[in-house]
Formats: sequence, C-alpha cells, structure tokens
Amino acid sequence: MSLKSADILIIGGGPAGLASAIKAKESGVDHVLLVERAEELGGLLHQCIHTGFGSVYFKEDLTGPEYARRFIEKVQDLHINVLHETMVLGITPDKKVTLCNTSGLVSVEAKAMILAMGCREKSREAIVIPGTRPAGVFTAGTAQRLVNVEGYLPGKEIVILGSGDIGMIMARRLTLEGAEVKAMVEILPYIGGLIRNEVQCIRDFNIPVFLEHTVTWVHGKQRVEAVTIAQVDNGQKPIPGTERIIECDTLLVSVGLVPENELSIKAGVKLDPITGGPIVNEDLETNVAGIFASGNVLHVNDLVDNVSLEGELAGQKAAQYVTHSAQLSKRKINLIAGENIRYIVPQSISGEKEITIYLRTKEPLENCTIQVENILAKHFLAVRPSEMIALKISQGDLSKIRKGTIELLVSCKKGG
Amino acid sequence: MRYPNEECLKNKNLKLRPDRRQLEADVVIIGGGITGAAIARELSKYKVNTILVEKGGELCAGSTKATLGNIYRGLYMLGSLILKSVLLPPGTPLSALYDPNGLKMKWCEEGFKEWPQVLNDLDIKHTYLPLHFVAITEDQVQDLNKMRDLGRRLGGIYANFQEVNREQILEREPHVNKDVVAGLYAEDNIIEIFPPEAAIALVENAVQNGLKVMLNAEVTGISKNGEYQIVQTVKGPVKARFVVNAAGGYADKVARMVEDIDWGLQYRKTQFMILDRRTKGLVNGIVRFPNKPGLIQVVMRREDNILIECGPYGLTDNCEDTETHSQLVADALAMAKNLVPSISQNDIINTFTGVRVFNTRDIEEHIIEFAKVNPRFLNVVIRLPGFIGALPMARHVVEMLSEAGLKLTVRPDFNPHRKAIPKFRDLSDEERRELISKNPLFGHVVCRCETVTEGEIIEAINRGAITEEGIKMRTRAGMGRCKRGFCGPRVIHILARELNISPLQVTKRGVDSPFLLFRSKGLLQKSVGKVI
Repeated sequence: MSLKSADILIIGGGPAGLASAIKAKESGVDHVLLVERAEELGGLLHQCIHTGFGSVYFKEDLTGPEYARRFIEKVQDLHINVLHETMVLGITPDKKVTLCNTSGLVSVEAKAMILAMGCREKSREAIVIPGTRPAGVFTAGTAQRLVNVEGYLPGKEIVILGSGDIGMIMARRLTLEGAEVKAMVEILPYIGGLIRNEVQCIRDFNIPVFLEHTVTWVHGKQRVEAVTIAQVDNGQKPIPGTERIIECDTLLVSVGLVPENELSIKAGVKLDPITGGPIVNEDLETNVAGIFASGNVLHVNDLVDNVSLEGELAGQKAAQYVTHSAQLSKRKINLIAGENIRYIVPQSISGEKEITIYLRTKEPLENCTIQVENILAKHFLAVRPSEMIALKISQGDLSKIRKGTIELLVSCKKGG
Repeated sequence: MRYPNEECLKNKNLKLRPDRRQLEADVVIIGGGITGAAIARELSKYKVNTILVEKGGELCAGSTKATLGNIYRGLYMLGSLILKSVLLPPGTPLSALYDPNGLKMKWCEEGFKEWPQVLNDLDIKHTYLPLHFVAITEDQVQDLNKMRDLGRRLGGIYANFQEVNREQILEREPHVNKDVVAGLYAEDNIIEIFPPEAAIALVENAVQNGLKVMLNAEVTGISKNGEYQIVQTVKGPVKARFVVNAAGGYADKVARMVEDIDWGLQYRKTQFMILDRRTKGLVNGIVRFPNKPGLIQVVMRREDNILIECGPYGLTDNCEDTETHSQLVADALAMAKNLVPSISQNDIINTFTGVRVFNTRDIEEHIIEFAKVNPRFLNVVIRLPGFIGALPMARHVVEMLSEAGLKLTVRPDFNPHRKAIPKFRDLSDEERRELISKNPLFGHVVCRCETVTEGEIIEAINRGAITEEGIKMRTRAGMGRCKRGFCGPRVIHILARELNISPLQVTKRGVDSPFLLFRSKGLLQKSVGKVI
C-alpha cells in the first residue's frame, strides 16, 4: 500500500475544514491535506442559495456559494493539497488514515488531524413517525439539495415537520417555487430555529404553523397522500381526539441535526452525550492528543460564521501542536452545565487565557442572567435554545478563579 | 445530447409502434418472492421457457423483504413448533405440532441440508449464528422446560442443544440482561442471510440460464384457450402452457381468477426494528425469549446491525398492511431492552412491519395443488417458514409440473454458479485496491453509512434493478443510519443516467412511487406570459 504523510490532515471540506486548512497553512505548516468526499469543496453551503451568510465574518450579507467561494479561492491561492471525491474509510488513534477514491486506496500518516465532518439530519425513520412508508418523505436538507442543486421539486403540496432553520428556509424556497406549504408542525411550544428565519421565511410568507403538534401518521401506500397531525401534551404525547388530516404529496422532516462522529469514535475520541460531538478543551483538542475538532462535528452551530471561526482556532492550534511553537493548555477546569444550560463548548478551559465559550439554554427565558459561578455574570433580555450564546471570559474574570479550582458551574437564572 | 433524438426521428418521419407480438412461455410463474424465485431457478435447470411476472416494481416486493428469513433447524425450530400451538387450540397433541411427513417439516429438514451448497454456488453471504433462548421470569423458565421436553421427545437434531445457566449465557452474550436465570443454547442451528439477497440471487442465476422477468406486471386475469392459458398482465398478455401461482399474499386473488376456491388467506403482522451499526457486538448471535402464545421476541445480529423482531402476531385482513404503529414500536423496544438493556431508542435507524401469510384450510400447512378446473394451473401457497424449505419445495413443484405433462430436458449448459456483486465494505484493502484498479467507480463511495460504491450500484442496475429499493436490496445503499439523506439524490441521479430516463421517472419501488414530481420552476410556468 502506498504510504503518504501529512503534517495536518483535515477531514471534511465544508466551512469548518476550509477555515482550518487556511489557518493551518497560514500558521506556517507546510503539508496540509484537506480531504473531501463530495465533488467540490464547500460542503452544504452550495445548496444554501439564500443569503444570510457572512454577517459576522465578512460584515456582508452573502449567499452560501458566495461565502464558500471566498474560502475555496484562498485554499487554492495557498496551494493547499485537496483530495476531492475521497472517502475516509479508516482512522486510528495514532492518526493513520485510510483514504479511498477512484485512483485507489491510500494510507496517510498525519502528525495532527482536524475532524470537520459536519453533521447529518435526523431521518423520519430515526424519530419513528408511524404509518405507511411511501415515496415523498424527505429530510429538509435533502429536499434543499434536490431543488437547488439537482433542479427538481419533490412535490407541490408540502407539510414540514419541525421548525429547524433548514425547514423554515425550505418553506420559503418551496413557496417561491410555486409549491404550497400547507403547514409547519412543531412539537415544542416555540419555533426551533433562528428568529431571523422565523420572520423572513415563516411570517413574511404566511406559512401556517402548528406549535405543540406533531405528525402522527403518514398516509399513502406508494406516494405520500396525506399526513395526520395531532396536538401534544406536556410529555409530547399526541392528545387523542385532536387528530386532523392534511392532504399533501410531500412530507419534509426538519427535526434536528446529529454531528457525524462515526470516524471520531474509531479514532478513540470521546464524545459528549449532549452535543453528540467530541469533548474538547479550549484549544478544541479532543482527548486524543493531536486530534482537534471544529464546526458542526463538534456541536451544531446556528451560523456558518461561527463555524469558520472555530475552524480557524482548530487550524491554528493544530499548527502549534505540529510546530511546537506554543505550549498547548495543560491545566484543566471543567465547565459544568447547571440550571437551564443544555451544553457548553469547550467542555473545559485552562483558566489561563481569555476565551469565548459557547452555550445553549434548555428553555427560552426572558430577562435572565447567565453566570459562570462567581467569576462572571451577564444579563440577557431573552434567551432561547435555538440561538447559541457566546460568552467572553476576560483576563479579569479569570483572575477571580481560585487556585485549585477543577470545575465551574454555568447557569441561567431569571432576573438581573 | 440525449438519444434517441426526437427531432431526428421526426425528420425521418420514422413511426415507432409498440411491439404487440405475444409473449409465449412454457411456464409463467406469478410472483417474485422467495417461492417464485426458487421455482424459477429449479426450472432453469431444464430446457423450459419460463417467464416470471411480478406485480411490484422490484422482486421481493412482499413478505420476502420483511422477514428474519433465517435458515434454521433444531432448537430454533422447537421455538417455532411451540409458537405454532398458538394458532392451534390449546391441548393440541405433539403430532399436530410436529408431523415429520407433512410437507412443511419435511421440506424444512431437507432444506437446511441443501441450502449451504446453493449459498456457496450462488455466492450468497451467510453466517452461522449461535442461538440462546433465555428466561428471566419463572413463567419463561416453565416455557424453556416445555421446549426442552419437546426437543427430547423428538430426539435427533431437536435434542441437539445444551441447557445453560446464567454464567454460561453471560460468558457468550455479555450484554444480555443480568437477570437471566436459565437458557437453552445451540451452536449451529441458524444460517443468517439477507432474505432479498438470497431470492434475487436465485432469480439472477435463473436469468443466466434463460429465465425472463417482467416487473410492474400485475396479473389482471387468466383465461384458458385449449392447450394454452392466457395470463393477462398490465404489461400485456402472456401465453403459457403452465401457470404457477406463487403470488404470496395475493395467491387467493390469483387463484380466484381461475375458479372458486375452498380456502382463503389470513395475514398476521410483526414489528421489526433495525439498530445503528454502533450497536455491533451487543449480541453475537440470536438471543430470544421462548415464544409466548402469539408473541415472537428476537434480538439478533444481522451483518453489523442489530435486528429486532417483536410481534403480537396480530391478525390483519390486508396483506399490504405494513403500517407501523407507535405502540408496537414501543413494545418492541421494551422487549429488546428487557433482553439487552443497553439498547436505546436513539439506536433505532428503521422500523418496519412484516406480514405473514396463512391459508384458512390448514393453518399449519402449505397448499400445493392444481386447480380443479385447470390441471395446468398450480397453486403454491406457502406458509412460514418460506425460506428454509424453498429448495425442496421448488423440486416438488417441478416434479408436479412434469407429471402434468411439462417436458423436462436437462439444460446441458446449465450454470449453477452466480457471482455476487462485490461488497466493497466487506473486502480487505488489498481486494479493494484490485477492484478499483479494474474499475475506478469502485473507489467512489456513494452511500457513506454502508460504504457502497458507484461501481456496486451500476452493477446492480446492470443486473436488473430499476428502482431505489432494487438498489437497496442488492447493495444496501440507503439502508444505513442517514436513510438516504446523503446518497438518495445521488442514487436517483445514477438510476436516471444508467437507465436513460428522467429523474422524474425514478421511483422508490415501482410506477406509483416517484420521488420527484416537477422540475424546479416547473410549477411557475403557468404564469409565463401572464401580465403580473
């Protein structure tokens, strides 16, 4: 078997992998290898033809392909090695990777690796929607690819289960395509995605929304003919007697994203059961030395801008790991999710340098304070689980951490 | 450029008319499940012109694609024998449970011995699985004792099992519920196969030896015309000397096209669940509770997944009633967790329902007989287990046809061997590289969950797959955890390209199940030219 080596091998050429590769190369690492399984770099950005990308990173409002283009050009300018249509078949904790493409199988030994595989959508089958199993049930992202990249519409009478961002964007997209979005059905008492999308995709296009409802039956033997929706109780169980049938030819499912960590597990990387992504320190390094993670493989982000920033951090730190140009963090203080906090990334900090941590709340709350034990408190007018919160911990805050501290409790409480 | 080029055809004033010549066969087999497939392959050993007609858009459209389909004997069969008692009145004597001369038992015992040769000849992936029947409750211990006693009374292969205690069970199956108190264990009772793969392999080999297959060809009527019968299908008539009714859940409907019958069909359904590959290793073979009246409870390894069957075995009056109910899934999950506690709801990647067919004349037996009014129309109505006895059954059917006048001349060039589509995921790196060097498309992974390459998908199409399910059953593409989320659009694209059809014509499982209904902007064309 032909054996190759790389200083830094990056798995996934989406926004996280692109930013990681650029930063790693710019940090002075010679041999950066970016591996992408699709035909081209950019990941899912190519099918996101709407705007809303880049407002943080470029201070501009770009479409997905435009946003991707800027990074892809930089990768080309920097002469970073890219393997397209290449699948990672195997990976070991000592950073040996088996790659496969139409030219054959290659084994690559890397000094450091960045996991940037992104995430996948939860399927109808995984959430077990009862009923028949006809054609016409798609995840929202798959439908987005079919419409925007392949050029075909799944149907003309659509019901969307879940109010995630892709679901809302597809509600608008399909309406603009002349299809009728008959309903968006959300099991929670609030919309699952960003407020911005709720305004621009749902309210502006008069999409009927059924909160605290779910799809309880799919009808149609060969092709979707209708769905039954029903109201749910507090335990998210359908309430008998509230069932209503909506005739439709297509059901889109937008019920959440799952980080794709099957390869990470093979590499011995430990996962956080809440985020579904690797447990990382403030350098975005996993429990396996020299394996870093960034973007949606780490935790599902709302904004691509943040994914790019995370990718850059991982790229920079992986470069430091390879060139030994800076000491990576040793000291470890675990961040513990307390009251109304669902998760925090990174899961631990060193307490030595300024850092921005990212977190999500469990429930929406108005007029509340997010607190990192007694070192930091910040007031928020409103928080909701769909909007990720960035919290900067300054040197001043860090100086309040008592010596010997091994964990800090993060919580979100009512009031100021 | 897409050929044929319609413009050129117009210029040439070339008029194409459908070919209305009548198809003709010595034997028409109705139904492309395991029963029809096995008969087709048996007939292909002879110089017999056979056509298999299938209602669905693919083979294995009914029970064959939703069954455990294990080839088993001995201890596992004992479980089934006890299960059968549910369908018989309480207190039924042993002779009614086990009739070694009945077709069902005879074929099962012969079939288990015959399959290994055919599995090897046809290159069908198979694995021998160890089996544990385990008991947690006192009630289950009693049931195990009944099984043990039944096995000892029958003797032979039925007594070839071990009684095992808690420690012995946990040593072989460490993830089983620690509360188990007793079990029965057998080593080589079960050959695990993927049922559609086996049925399709039989058909592929029959096609190599001359069989013709018509898909999307629902039979609408059968008439007799002297020496011949005309099988009317939605794809046109087929003239046949002999007709074999292997229509599974529709066998009664097809039989009634010929005469009034004194039997009907009834259907019972069970719930299946497939778990994520990450659960690999949770069980090493099959672990199950002893069957309760009307309840099957099995957790087994299938390839790298875990497959669960749990059935109240409820009656349904519709053989297409494969709807999944929340309660049944919840029950199946609870059962599976009781057997293997670390199984969780998050592991589920698919749920589906299988429908089993029984005839109302004798719920314990098959019906293999010619129609009273037509001595060349043979009803082959198989009850479960349909896979184990399929090979002896097919031989029996061909003998019956021969006795009824079908001339059997051995096909001198009969080729008993068929090569499977290479399974990239199962190959060593060395084999993979060799494959890619021969055909680079084997290096292009399309289904990332199950590691299925474009080369495999194209090979499946070359062998007759015309739908997404056809690809799935032949290659496993789309069977993994993301459920076609990634490979779905790509498989549609490849099918359209290879079959030279529009993606709008690509279906899930036949004519009525298209994935895509319009081109983008296709719904906006109405407003073209309108003043807005």
